[in-house]
Amino acid sequence: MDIRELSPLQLDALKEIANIGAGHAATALSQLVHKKILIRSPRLGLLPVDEASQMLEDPEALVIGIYLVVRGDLSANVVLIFPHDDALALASMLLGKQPQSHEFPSPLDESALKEVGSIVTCAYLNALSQLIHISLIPSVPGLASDMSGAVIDRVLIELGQMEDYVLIIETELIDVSQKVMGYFMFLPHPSSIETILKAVGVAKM
Amino acid sequence: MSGVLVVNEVTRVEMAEFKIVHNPDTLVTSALGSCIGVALYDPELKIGGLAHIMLPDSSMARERSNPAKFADTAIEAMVEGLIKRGAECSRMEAKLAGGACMFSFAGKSPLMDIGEKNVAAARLILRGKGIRIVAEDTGKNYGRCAEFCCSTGKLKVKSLTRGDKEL
Repeated sequence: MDIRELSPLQLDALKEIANIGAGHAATALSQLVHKKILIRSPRLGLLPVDEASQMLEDPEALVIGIYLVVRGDLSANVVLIFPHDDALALASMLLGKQPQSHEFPSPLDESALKEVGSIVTCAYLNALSQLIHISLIPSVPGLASDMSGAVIDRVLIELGQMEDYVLIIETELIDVSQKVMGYFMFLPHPSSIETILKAVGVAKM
Repeated sequence: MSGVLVVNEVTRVEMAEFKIVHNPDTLVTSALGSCIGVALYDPELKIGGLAHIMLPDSSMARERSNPAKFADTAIEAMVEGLIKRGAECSRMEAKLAGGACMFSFAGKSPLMDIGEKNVAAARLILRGKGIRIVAEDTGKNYGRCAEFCCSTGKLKVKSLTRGDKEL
């Protein structure tokens, strides 16, 4: 299917599903760090692959990205992006230590952040799989600490191999004390978008 | 008032784009992760081009509307553009930056990562055209920004985590 031809109704359906998924993701994160986590309503970006990185405020900003590949009844990519200091603050919350600002996350920080990525992604996927009765299997998480543009290009390339356009479903997660802000991005393959739409009964254009 | 002010213009090359400029201009491209930056330079004419390439091979893709996205078609088009302006393949020098493997998974796939594939494809295509690769800073696991100066042919490669290099 050509994702450029998605109708407003279909886009709304995708947004609603993302909203439910993000709600579960935020709950999981909140239980992990014992803090209230707020979500902003999902943003849908339907963009040419080569322009998608321009969605980032500053492609050269130092961030930490956690990347998972989803297989099963859907093919999708999940990326969580945190500004560098926010990621370290998050790791500190989990590990019960004082946040330190150093250039690289320690192996322990990395491990904690990958775990966050896994748990939050699983919560999102579980909500999706229960809602539309599909089976989803996430990969082990990979982590990169680098320029946001360089972190995201690997993911866009994965999708850009076949298509010129990508659909990015992005939700912002913020903890109430505003120490940690991050983005949860769900990037389904075009064929999988059709699967989702069929499952919720709005496959017809 | 007399005299001409020579302005060294800096042109940005976005993802899946290539640009050609001549002395004294500079081309910059940011945040190369798995993507690869290919700089071509004719030192005699002092003209050069910089491409920000996403994928190794256009034959895999369903849509090929943008040649600058793929190593094969981007290098082809850039070389053509340079030849049109008088450059010659035999004089051209190539420099490469990027093609990193940004994420390491515990169970690494036996398939080559896309970054490695991009580097391999760029090398192969340049060799096929008889263009020498005089320097490269590729692979590893970090992102790079590239700045290509057409007055000197130098390619400055910057990274946030591993310092800067000049090729």
